[in-house]
Amino acid sequence: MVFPIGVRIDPEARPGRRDGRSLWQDSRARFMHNRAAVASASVLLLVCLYSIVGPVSSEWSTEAIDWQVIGDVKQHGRPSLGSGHFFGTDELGRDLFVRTAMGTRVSLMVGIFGALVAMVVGTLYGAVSGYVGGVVDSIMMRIVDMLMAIPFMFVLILLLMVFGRSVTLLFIGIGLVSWLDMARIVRGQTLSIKQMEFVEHAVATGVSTAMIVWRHIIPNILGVVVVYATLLVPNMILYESFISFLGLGVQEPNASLGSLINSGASRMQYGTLWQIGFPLFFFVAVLLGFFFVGDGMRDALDPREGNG
Amino acid sequence: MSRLRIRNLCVDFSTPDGTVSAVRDVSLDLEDGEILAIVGESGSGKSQTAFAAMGLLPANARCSGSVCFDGKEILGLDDDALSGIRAREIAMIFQNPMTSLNPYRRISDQMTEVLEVHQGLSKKAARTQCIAMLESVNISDARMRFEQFPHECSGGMRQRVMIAMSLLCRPRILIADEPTTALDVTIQAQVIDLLKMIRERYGMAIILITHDLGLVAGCSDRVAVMYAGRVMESGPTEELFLSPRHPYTDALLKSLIRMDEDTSRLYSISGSHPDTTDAGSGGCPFNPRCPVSTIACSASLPAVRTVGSRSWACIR
Amino acid sequence: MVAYILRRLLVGIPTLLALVVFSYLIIVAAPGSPFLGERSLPPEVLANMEARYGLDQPILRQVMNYVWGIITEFDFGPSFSYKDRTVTEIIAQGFPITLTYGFLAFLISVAVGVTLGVIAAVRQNSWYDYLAVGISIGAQVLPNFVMAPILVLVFTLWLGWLPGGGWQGGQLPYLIMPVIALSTSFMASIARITRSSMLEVLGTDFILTARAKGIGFRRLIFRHALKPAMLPVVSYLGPTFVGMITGSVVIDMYFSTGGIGQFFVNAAINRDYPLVMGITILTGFLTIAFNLVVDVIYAWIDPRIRY
Repeated sequence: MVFPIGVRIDPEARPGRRDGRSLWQDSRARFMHNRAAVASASVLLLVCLYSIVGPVSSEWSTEAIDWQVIGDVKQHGRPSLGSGHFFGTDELGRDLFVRTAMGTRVSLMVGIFGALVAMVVGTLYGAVSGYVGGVVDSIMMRIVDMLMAIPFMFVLILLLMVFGRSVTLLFIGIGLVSWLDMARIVRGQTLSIKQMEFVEHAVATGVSTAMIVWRHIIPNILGVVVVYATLLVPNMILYESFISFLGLGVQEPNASLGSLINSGASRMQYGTLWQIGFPLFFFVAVLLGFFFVGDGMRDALDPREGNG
Repeated sequence: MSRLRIRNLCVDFSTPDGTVSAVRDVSLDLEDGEILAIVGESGSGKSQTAFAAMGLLPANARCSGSVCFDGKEILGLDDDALSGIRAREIAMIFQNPMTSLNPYRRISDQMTEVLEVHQGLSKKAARTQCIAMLESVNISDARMRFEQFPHECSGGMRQRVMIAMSLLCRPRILIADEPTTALDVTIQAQVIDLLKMIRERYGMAIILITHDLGLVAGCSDRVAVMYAGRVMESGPTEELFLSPRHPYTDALLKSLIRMDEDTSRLYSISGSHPDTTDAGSGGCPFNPRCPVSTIACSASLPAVRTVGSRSWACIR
Repeated sequence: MVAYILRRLLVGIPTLLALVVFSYLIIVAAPGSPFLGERSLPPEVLANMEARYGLDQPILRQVMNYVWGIITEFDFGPSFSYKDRTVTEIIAQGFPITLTYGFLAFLISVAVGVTLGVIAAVRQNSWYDYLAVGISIGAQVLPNFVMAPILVLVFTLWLGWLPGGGWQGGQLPYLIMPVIALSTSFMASIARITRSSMLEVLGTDFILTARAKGIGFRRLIFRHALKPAMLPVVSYLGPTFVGMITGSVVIDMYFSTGGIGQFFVNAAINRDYPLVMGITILTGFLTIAFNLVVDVIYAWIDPRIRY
């Protein structure tokens, strides 16, 4: 058998790069060559479009009840182009096309805002910890270690319970419990950038610490941070859906993909499978989309890594 | 019949950026008890020649030609078939001793394993032999080192361990791929002395792959100079150093820093090593950088000329 | 090694204390907190609370009472929603169930995930590899709360092979779906992690050395490559464990298995603070203990780690 070593190119034999493209152009070209990533990005765009335009284009609103179907949802509430319920209705006669669009929008928003919160908090924390170094660094990282050992889903549910269930708290809560990995990654990057000449030059010319972190450190780790944040989005959506599935997140009549999947799952035995099918389809599409785009971005920025 | 006989060896790598021809039409012979040095710049294909002979090329490599050990073809055999050759007949040590030993296993486990697999010895019986071998490559406190993990040893020490490990089955050939490049200068000399001592004691043949001509002068019997995947010139070390036939060899020798000459300027070869993707431009690969090139040099590949024990590939 | 474990414990204990104090303070500070008497509680519970925590005392004193009760008597106080029961009783009832299927799911995730990943890496770019990668990417977007309904749909509603819920003392038919639902996504992640770290290890210099020694394929994989390839997997065991405990919430709710998760959700919906806190603290304790075990395994695999 052929021995299964990956494509190990003799570094000496690698052909030289012929044109003088910049790092970013190079990365973009590599990303565009990654068919899975480009396809996923397109799918994500379409899903976003649906989640925004969908509700406007339909004659139904998210809360309107179609009294005509309410008696026999299994017969009259099934997906059809004729009735205007493209995805069918739920057991209360509400149109699933617009409700799925709303659920997708809520899930995407929680995912993106959650990732943004995690990104901002994690970057600042990690950059300060890595740049200041010494005792401050070890205390700050010890705190991260401590926080990492806490089962966060439980704490988040505790928070939601105490302060009431609201989407805002969900945004912030999910973001706040997810910044820890980001802080670690950023700290590592900061430590290596700190060694570089331009930072030493800034120090030597008397630039203040805050200014160095803001002007030199953060711009240089932005690439890694953005890639990691993209990979965080699907995790955020998973958290949110988990909590909403339990009925502890988004409240009726609002919906997210998680709560739609939950109500669909609870109606499965009545044969209205479209109730779980459509939300599940968008859930899977969004998650896979973000996973592939994130992977593609990581490979594009750092071609050495991520052959898995 | 020479112990190892390489004929028309070619190695190509398929990479996302195109095909790289690392080794082109290389032919070499190795006799018992001789040290053959393969010299060349980075990317000249010297290491890949050795990897091909050992069957250690990665999955994206394709090779053609012939490598015969004791008259038996070994090129293209799979790992299982080669396990009778590797370590038993041909052993290999690598450039970077810091990464070539498994950091997660004790030196003892890594060494005894060779004897357990190839000679069916018990761990206990293998142990004595291994410690003796460590002592014979001048490792002090061999018993203590034997039980350590690689990270507890220095680079020079680890390369000695590698050498000792490669000698356990008394192979006929040792391939040393840049064995001193990653080491301090003082350690380099010790390792080279060790290789010479091994040749004397065991009568084995050694292929020394290096980019350092100075190293070659001190210890090898024959030299093959490689450039862009081809052998430019080969011959007995002394003759080749005294009267190089190929302009590339000549240029290499001139760029050595010599202590006995008072030079104000260091000699350097202009230009850079060619890109190995453009496989067949037709002429001599050294032509663009050659100080004495003529129009005829870019027309066709110069044929290899052989006179006595020397051969070279230049039209002049 | 012993000193290392002690040092890790020194970090773990304050973490746990911080978790306890934090949760207690949140609840005390919360608007409408039962501790402030703004919410109408059944009088017998209120009386219990008064006696138990001394609500008229300063907050610091209350926290200390609470912590002291846990340490000395494993007492998490009375439950609000289950009137005649203490939190400790409820935990004692639900926890063995959660641990049973959680532990099984954990074992299966690791065993199957590692096997899939190793084979995929060793047969890189074969149809098996593509299949394994495809499955593991697909399974990553099938978390427990998606797997559970799908399994019920297929095996209960369509095929009628398995009961849709219940526990029945953990008989096999009642175990299968909870365990599969809980393990699928983690198995997929572990397979992916194993594959990529195995590929990385197979590309290292020391594997080249091992191949040059002609020691044979099985020995190469099992003696040389597997141990280092397991390091990233070991780091992922902590999150997997947390995921199992967290996932039990969904499992208990969906399959009515009667584990700790069901009580947790009910407690959260009914604002049963002592029960929520008790479960949070207990899972926190388990997580910290488990992470300690993981760290020790890690140090055992990699001899270069300083204790």
